[in-house]
Amino acid sequence: MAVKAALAIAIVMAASLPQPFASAKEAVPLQPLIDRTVAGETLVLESGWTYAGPAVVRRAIAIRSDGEAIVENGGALPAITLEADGVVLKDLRIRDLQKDPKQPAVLVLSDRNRIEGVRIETRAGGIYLRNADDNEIRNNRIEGASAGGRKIAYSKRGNGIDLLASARNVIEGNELVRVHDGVYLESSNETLVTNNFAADSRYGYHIMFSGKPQLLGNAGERNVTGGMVMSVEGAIVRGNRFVKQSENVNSQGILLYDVHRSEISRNRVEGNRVGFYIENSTENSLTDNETIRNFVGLQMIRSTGNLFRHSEFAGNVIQAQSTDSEDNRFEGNYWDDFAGLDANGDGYSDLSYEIDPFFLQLTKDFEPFQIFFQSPGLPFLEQMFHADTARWLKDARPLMEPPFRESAEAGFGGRWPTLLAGLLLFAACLIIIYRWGYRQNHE
Amino acid sequence: MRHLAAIASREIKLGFRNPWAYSFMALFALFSLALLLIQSQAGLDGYTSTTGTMMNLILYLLPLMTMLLGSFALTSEKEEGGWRLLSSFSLRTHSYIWGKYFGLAAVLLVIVAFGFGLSGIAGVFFGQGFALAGYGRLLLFSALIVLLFLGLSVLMGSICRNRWQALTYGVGVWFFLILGWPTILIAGLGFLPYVWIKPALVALIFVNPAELNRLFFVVKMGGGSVLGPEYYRWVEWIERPAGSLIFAIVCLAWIVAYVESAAWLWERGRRRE
Repeated sequence: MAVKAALAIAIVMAASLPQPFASAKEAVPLQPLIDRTVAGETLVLESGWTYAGPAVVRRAIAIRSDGEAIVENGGALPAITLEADGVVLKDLRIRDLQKDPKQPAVLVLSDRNRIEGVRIETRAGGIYLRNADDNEIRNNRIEGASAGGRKIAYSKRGNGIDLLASARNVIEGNELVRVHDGVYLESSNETLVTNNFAADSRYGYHIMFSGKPQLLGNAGERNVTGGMVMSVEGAIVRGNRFVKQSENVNSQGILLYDVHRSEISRNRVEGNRVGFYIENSTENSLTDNETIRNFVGLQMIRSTGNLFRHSEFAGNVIQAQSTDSEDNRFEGNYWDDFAGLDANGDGYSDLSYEIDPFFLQLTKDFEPFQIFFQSPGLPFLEQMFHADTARWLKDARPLMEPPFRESAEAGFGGRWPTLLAGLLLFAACLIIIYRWGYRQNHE
Repeated sequence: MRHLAAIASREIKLGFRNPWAYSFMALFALFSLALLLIQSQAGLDGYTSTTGTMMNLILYLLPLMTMLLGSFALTSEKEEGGWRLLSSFSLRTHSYIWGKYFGLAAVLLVIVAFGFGLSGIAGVFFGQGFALAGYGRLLLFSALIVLLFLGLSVLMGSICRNRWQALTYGVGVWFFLILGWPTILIAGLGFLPYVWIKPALVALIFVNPAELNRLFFVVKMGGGSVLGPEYYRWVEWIERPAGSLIFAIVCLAWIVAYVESAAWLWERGRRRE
């Protein structure tokens, strides 16, 4: 028995040993090659070869591969550390075997570098910038390794691209999959984050204590939260698309916490648990957003002076909830569960749309009552508490027609099976009614 | 078994002779069509406002319909002497009640299928058709609501002496389980110590087939996270394939318990006569 157990352990250990170590013996050490390259020159790594990190770049050189050279790294240091300004990393593939989420595969400590087309596989972090300004990080792919198909806990993963105290960097066109936070900004001002894609991670884009960040045209799918903006002033969140952040009980499309005087516009949040979650935030402008098929479209807590204009709320199980929030202005939004009345034909309803905060209040007082979400008896209970509607969330002139049309096009091709099923059901009913109802009663 | 089948087929025959069945059928068909026409672009894929509304409207209508048809079918036998005649034969109460249950289930399922069939066809012509998966899920939801509430109604039918009493009970139970449920629970549970509230809430869900069904389908449609962190383990558990199996067993146990107690009550009444 003991022998068996020991054998089993030995097998498990052998299996869990990082496999590339076997080939690491033949890997070419990267550091001497870098040291031999003169500033301003390019070090070309050969396709199909494996190079061994860790390596530190102390001169302004370019490192690229003429195909896809692999850099492997297993120690406690980053695969590549950039200490010099103006370094270019291009078209590499980095396989990092580190497991400490605080350790990145690429660490940038300098300015004006360019990291482009790099593919990183790691269970630790991807690209970390520390006190590094004016860098460009474009079209990289960072993939958190999965432990043999099992999902690794979020807390054990590193961030994809992580900025601390780094200003004016550009993060564009990167793909971030199965990491902790796709892009994480802390105390990093004027960062431009555009056209990235983050999936299956904790937060897609996580911005904290950073001035004037711009989050433009990014996408997120199946993360716990798509875009999370915290303690920020003057952010621009525009044209992003967050879909299916719905698995986790804390999921939301876009979360704004302690955000002030920011612009959140032309975003599309679809199929999330909560589309827009806004807490302790003031004087933001939320316009032209599409909030579609979320369980809760908009949830607002302790937020004042925000403007919501020309947005669409459609197919959400609960359109909006709000408590302890006053002086927010809603005007000209489209609510698909509202039948308005437009007497003067200006496209806006003369009746206002009002939202009852009863359920949010109820569940805030006692969370297990969340079980009554959309219960058929709930409207009945809400009706009885309709006394004071003065502090409700209210859209004074709701839009009569949805402002965005493309979402309405549902494919028709998949409907034929339903027609067939309907015909079968209908025919079966008629036969049964005729056979057992009509004929037996008339014999 | 032969008796049971005979009673069931007699019940189907009676059921389709009953004008109530047709008026309910018309009402349900009208409802399904109306829902189809007012449904927004949200569609039936997953948990959306449309699926939520559909489920609620089904919950308003079907349980009441089932309880009235079911309990009337039993009390009318008492009132009109049908049972007196039948009980002079060597017919076991058990076979009789279960026969009634299956016969009524067939009639009600035909009513539901009629409404769904009609809206499935009409949907294609009005250009607002459903996807098959969502359609099938709602059909299954309706069928389960009918089967569960029929168990309740059979018990009600054996308790009540006449149709008037059955009507009163039916509407009362419907109000309690569907409309008043959150109100009554929120008010009532307030008296319990804080730590007991959630366990009591969960236990009570198993008492109310409407809530049990609704929550199961919400979770199956991927809406489980909306219930919040308090129900994380429940949701995870239901999402697994074994969750469906256990749900089916719970439903079956529910039906058997109610129909069996109806049979027991009915048998007791028979002995006393």
